[in-house]
Amino acid sequence: MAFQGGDASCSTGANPMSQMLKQFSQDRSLQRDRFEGSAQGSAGPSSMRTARQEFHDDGMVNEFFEREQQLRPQQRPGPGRPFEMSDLHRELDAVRVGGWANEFQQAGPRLREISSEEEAAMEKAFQESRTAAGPTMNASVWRNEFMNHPETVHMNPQQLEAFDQAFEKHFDWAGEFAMNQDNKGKGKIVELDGNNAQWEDQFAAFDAKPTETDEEIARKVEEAAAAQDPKLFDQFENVWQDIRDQMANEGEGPEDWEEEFGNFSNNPAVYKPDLGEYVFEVVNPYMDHGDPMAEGLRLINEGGSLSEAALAFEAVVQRTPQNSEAWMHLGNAQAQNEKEEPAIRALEKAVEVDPQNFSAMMSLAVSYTNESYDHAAYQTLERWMGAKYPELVSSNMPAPATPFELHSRVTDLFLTAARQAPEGQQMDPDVQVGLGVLFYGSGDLDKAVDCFFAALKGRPDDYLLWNRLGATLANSGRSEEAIDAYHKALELCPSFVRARYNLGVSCINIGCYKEAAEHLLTALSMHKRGVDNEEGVNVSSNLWEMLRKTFVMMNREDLANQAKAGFDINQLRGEFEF
Amino acid sequence: MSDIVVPGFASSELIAELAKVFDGMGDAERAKLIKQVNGVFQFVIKNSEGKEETYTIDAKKEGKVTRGKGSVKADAILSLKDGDFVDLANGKLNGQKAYMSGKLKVKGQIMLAMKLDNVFKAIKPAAKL
Repeated sequence: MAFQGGDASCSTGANPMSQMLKQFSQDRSLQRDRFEGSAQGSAGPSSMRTARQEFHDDGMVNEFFEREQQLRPQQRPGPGRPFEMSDLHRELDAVRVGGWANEFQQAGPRLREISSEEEAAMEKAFQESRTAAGPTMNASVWRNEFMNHPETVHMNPQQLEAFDQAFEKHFDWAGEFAMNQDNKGKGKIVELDGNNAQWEDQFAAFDAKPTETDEEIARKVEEAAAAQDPKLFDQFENVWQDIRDQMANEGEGPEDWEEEFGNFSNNPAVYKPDLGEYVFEVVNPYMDHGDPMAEGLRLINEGGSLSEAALAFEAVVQRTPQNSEAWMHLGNAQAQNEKEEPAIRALEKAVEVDPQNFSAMMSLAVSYTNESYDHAAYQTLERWMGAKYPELVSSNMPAPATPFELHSRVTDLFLTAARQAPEGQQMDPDVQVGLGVLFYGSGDLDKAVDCFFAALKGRPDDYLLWNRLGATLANSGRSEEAIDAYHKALELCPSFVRARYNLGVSCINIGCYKEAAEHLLTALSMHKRGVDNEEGVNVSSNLWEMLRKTFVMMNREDLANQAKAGFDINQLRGEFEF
Repeated sequence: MSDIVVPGFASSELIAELAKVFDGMGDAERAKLIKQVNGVFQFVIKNSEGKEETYTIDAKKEGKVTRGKGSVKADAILSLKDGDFVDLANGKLNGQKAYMSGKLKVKGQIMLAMKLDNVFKAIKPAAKL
């Protein structure tokens, strides 16, 4: 591969995929901790509600911590888990709550009865928790995630505030405990009294009569929390304030949110394009053909005209609309022919007829990405996973709140699948393609390039992959390398219109306008079929628009005005070579 | 169009370019963009001196760019720094990353932030996977 030289990620010669995986294993761990932990927390807004009620009860503190233990069944050993407070829990369980504060005061320095080893471990855990609690992004992401959970919209602001203070408590504990740790060695009882007073206030608030409202409790806790660690609190407040502002500004307030997120989870199709039914060509010589399917496949395999192949497949599906494979071939042919919308319609039909047609799903996800229907692309990739690797997908996943979250979830699935078979024959190039599409969607173009390279190792003659690699390179600004990739694709399949279109785009981007025009005109000429040069019903608007843009860049307004479907490009043969 | 460029705002030059592209679009192209994006973005951009400028990108009704709040009500109000807007428009930063990292704040339809890349692609043609 001539152009591999300049690419640092390939230079070690190691399997680029494992390299890419390494990037990932590091990246995600902290986030995973956060998400796992927080997912647990947010998975139970109802349990939080119960917790709120029980704040009025005596067993409140214990209940809360017990629930924490239940919510986090996976107890990893050592200080890796910031909120590993089981030792502390055990201590507290022994204390009856009613006069929790009094008991604490009387019992003196109970906390000090922990062995110094445990203390050290806990201190370390809490230091880590402080650092982990630091990055605003994680906290606010968690906040956003929770706020976006469909169930949230059913909570009124008071409940939300109660949740808020419960959320605060985690970090309060860290703060509290760290402070206690810091004070060891000094006069214990005195120090504890000092801290104890704050704790007393906090929990006295909870011990209060049931008539005290949630807001009052929340306020007290917020005050106590603010006193302890104002900076941390501010971060949350900012995020929270943004959300509140947003709700306030929405006019109708929470109902708007509900509608928007309700739409989202109840009707995921809202972010899918509604392109309608496939539109067939009116004039189709293959309608009378003996075996249009075989003919279509022959054309594809021999690098014949994509337009002709599409016609052949159209004939097949008009006769047998339940033939998912034919719909898929039709969709693929149209995509390669740079006709994305017909491609999407055909591929959607393929998947509708056969929900297990994962090959069609992969093509569909790519087409959605090209048309910027990112959310639809991620949903389709998730379905692909479910169809091809069902063992990796758990059946009762909650509906994701935002497209960003869906993207994370699907990326994790693909990474898991990739790890199953990192080297050699068993690697599934489609997993790499899926990952490539995911990274492309989130803007991690370098990682996407690595994925397509890895996929190409498994399928070096796959011209579709060469084009995908090229497009990813091009969209990350590496136009020269992209052009090399496109030439490779065209070597393998000279009738690959899309690669020629992309070549035109890259030429425009490097300023070679005449060459760009020639490539685009070549592509358009391949759409002409039959004797009468008719372009048919499904026209490639992309090709025409790009040609128009090229003429504008060349300062040829006369040509730009004519560059639209129906124009006879043969007129230009004198001036341009194609 | 000339009133879009504001000294001290690197983003304003990019926005002016976007305005030019929108104006130069063919009808079919504009219709397609409107169909794909279907939203009115209001950008509130803050530069390093603390000054703010507002621009409205209407990719819902007319397909054009104006300085200020615009005549159509915004579906999403996006706030970000001058430098971050430039990165966003150049493709160095994408909508998702910008939002997740807190560089982009959105009021209104958060989902529209995902469509931003569509709008900016109009400035620079994109290759197809």
